[in-house]
Amino acid sequence: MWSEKDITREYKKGDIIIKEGDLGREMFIIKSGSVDVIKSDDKKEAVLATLERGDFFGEMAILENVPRTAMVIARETTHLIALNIGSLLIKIKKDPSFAFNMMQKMSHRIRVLNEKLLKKETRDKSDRSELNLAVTKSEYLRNGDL
Amino acid sequence: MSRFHTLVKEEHLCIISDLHLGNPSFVQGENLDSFLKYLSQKNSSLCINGDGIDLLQLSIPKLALDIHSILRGLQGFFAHGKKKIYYVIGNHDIYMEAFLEDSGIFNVVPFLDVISGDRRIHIEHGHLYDNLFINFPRLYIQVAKLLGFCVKISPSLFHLYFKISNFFSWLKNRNHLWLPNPPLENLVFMRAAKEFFERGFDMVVFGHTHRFGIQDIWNNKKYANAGSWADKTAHYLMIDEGEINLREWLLSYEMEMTSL
Repeated sequence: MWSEKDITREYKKGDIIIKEGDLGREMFIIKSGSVDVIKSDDKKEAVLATLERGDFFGEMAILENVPRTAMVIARETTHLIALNIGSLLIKIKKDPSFAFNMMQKMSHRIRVLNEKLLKKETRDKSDRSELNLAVTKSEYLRNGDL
Repeated sequence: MSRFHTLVKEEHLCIISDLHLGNPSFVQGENLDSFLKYLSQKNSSLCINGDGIDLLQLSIPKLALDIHSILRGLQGFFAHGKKKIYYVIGNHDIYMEAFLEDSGIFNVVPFLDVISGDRRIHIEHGHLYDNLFINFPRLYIQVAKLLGFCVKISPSLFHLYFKISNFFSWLKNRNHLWLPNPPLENLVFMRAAKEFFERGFDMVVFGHTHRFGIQDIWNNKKYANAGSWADKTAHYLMIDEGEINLREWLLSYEMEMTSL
């Protein structure tokens, strides 16, 4: 039986909730408290986001069954609802607006990525045309004509 | 830019629900007009929590009259400051979404999550938790249309339907009536509210059942319903910096206020 007691977890300040690279089987909804989402490489760590009550995280791992892409640490005493894929489906049936919130978040991510991609392409095109111009200029200087 | 702003910050928000404009049983036109005028003087946004317009039980001549009274009130509302009107879609106005949005008056949303003070409030019409609507949608619509036909003959049948519906809710809840706070609504709505409390909301506001009230569930978590304006009495919920109150609107009250 799916019950609140089974799925609510408590984390103290500084506890690691998710480790980058781990294979996750659950996503989390913050019932109370807050967490930091941290991305790290060999040299440094960066806080990507701070999530608070009502926010959720870790959904990519259960939707695609891929390793965790960032680390998540509790900023204070935090209560989370852990959902595996089965309980996520039950949650969506009981609370359809949660599914809408998830889709909104993913749609937002896709839009941001599209915008970044577009900017990068525009920058690359501009770089390419500058390069072409430089090549043409150097050829002109070398050959004296086009 | 996102089309739906389902998460907003509002320190002062007034919630009304189930107006059923166009339904012959809606008799609060004058009252609604005076209420909107009163609200336009306040520093508060407005949320219509579903079934603002009644397409299922529509009488076109009645709608023409009702729309006239609400538009007058809304014009006054907009004339004062940059307040917003949120329109949460219900089951009687489900096809009105594009029309309402294109009117430029409403911020149309499927539900609304409000941050007010340090409280998080989920506002939704609630029809998605109605077993009859979800499990037998065709039957629900046919019954609603049949009721709409009956309402044209006698508007009081509309109120009778909700009285019967609430009686059955009471019967279903009878095993819990000995509790200090017996459930305000059919338990399916209370269970749905619990799902929202679990994910960090402090209050849940539904409409749909026409049963006004506020109830403490546990740990200061509150369930509220603004009732309906297609009734003899008209209620509204007022959220002020995270505190919620249920109030009744009386035309005489407005007259007293203006005479002071």
